[in-house]
Amino acid sequence: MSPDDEYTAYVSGRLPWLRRVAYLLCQDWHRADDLVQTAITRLYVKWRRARAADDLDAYVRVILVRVFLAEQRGGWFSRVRVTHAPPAAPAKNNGGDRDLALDLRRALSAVPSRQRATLVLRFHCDLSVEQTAHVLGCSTGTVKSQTARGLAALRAELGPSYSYVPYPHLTHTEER
Amino acid sequence: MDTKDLFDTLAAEEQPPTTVDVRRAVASGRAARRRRRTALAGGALAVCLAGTFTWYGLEGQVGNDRTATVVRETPDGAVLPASGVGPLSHAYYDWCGEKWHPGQGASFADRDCVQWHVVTRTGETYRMPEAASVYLDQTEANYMNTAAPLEITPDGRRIAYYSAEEERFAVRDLASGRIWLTPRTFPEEEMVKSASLIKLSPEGRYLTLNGRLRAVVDMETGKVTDVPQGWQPMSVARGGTRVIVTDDMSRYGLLEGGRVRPFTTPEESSLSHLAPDGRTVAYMDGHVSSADGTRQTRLDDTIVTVDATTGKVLRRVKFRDAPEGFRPWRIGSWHGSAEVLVTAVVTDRPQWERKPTQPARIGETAYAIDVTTGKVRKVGTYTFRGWSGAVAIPGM
Repeated sequence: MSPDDEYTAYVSGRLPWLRRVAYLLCQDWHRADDLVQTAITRLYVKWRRARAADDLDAYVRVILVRVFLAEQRGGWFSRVRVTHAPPAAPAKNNGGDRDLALDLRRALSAVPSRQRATLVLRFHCDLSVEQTAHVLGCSTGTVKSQTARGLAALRAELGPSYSYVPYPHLTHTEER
Repeated sequence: MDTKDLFDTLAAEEQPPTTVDVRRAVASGRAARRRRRTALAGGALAVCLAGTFTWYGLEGQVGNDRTATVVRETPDGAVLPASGVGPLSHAYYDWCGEKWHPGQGASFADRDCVQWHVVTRTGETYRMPEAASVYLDQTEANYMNTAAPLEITPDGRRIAYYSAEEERFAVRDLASGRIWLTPRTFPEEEMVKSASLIKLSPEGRYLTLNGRLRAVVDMETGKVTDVPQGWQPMSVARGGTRVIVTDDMSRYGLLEGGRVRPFTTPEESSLSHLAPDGRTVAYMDGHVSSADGTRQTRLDDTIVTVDATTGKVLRRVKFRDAPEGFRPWRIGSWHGSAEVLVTAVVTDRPQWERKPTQPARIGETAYAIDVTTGKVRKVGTYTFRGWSGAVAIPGM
């Protein structure tokens, strides 16, 4: 199998996962696709190095998160739909409450991007504080403070239905 | 619900169909690798050239002749510098001055001369490798879509273009060299199939995207405003809050705050951009002539202004002091609050009066028409010699 074939097989197989992470970062499927497209292009450029990595998924995740944060720094974060037409129906979720998902998306999008990336890495990707710090290129102290602020922002948005436990007793990853 | 549940709930959402294209990533990745290799080689070459020029510079100073170190004329085919470029007069592409037929673009592959060339007001000409120009993979089926668009602000200080490398539209400030990219990508193959038309606001901050994208982008903040279904953006006023839109029936409307207010203009009239007051638009009107008895031609001889917020006609004024055979065909931006820019096609000598090897002078002449008096004054002529190609004029 040539390096290009290996790359294509890997990306095709991991595409749903990459899109899901990207979607949690930005809450917009179109933009998630743009993020993934950019990330996998960069992955191709670095494929020789990437395929030799101990954990290829982790390597790609770093690229994806950094693409997201770079775009945020560039100001590409706000999209306003000015129209009187009703919005398109949201995608179905697997048995979950559609309104709940909508509320969660809204709440998450209100969290600043870097804090949101921290929460996604810690609570969706199940990364430790150290691993999250590596992905974000910051100190572990920054990860902790960003996590605490992100969770506080979520609580402010979601209200009492969200069982917020302040740092440092809060996360399942730290309890492991 | 705790935080883990929150993410699990969102992650469980069914994924819509994706636009991610692995083959496109491979193609773009290969191009990026090539560029990186070229840049490394170019850096090495630059070091060598720098050494050479230093040597000649010293020679000149020894002879008390410094003219050799003062370069005013840019060599033919020079690349647009990263910054410090003065306002543009116009831009063009000319198929390298050679004959070309639809569907035969591939023969121009790897030739720098097919790129967009920008011309400054002081006469320097630079080519722009980063701006997509003619489509080399164009087919005869879509022969009307020959090249990617390039737009210049009325003051000539900013340009908008399509970057094939980024697969996004870009706005570049020529003096500072700063480049802003649109947040959404637009694949190059889609550009070839059906290009998105673009227009810049007068200050060069807002960019309208026509076609499938149907949006107005604040390039400095990344905020994208979608245009309501059924309408396409045509131009955007300074500040970005008011947009002229059109529908499939060639009806125009003013989009503001998410609501379109349609207004009436005569059939097939081109509409100007919004005036500096943010509400006045102009179009040319005239009468249908059948002077030669065989075909009817509309001859425009009147400039009409309309309040786009109410649809009311403000003024109709006949052209005055227009040159002989004045046939404007496009209308665009405003020069101040009273003059609107129009262009007419430059007519060269017919082919049988030129040498078979001599290409025509192609381009447009721009005129400013005073909407209060009808007075027509010539602004400039923008041409190149070639068998085919196009000219981009500031504010048109």
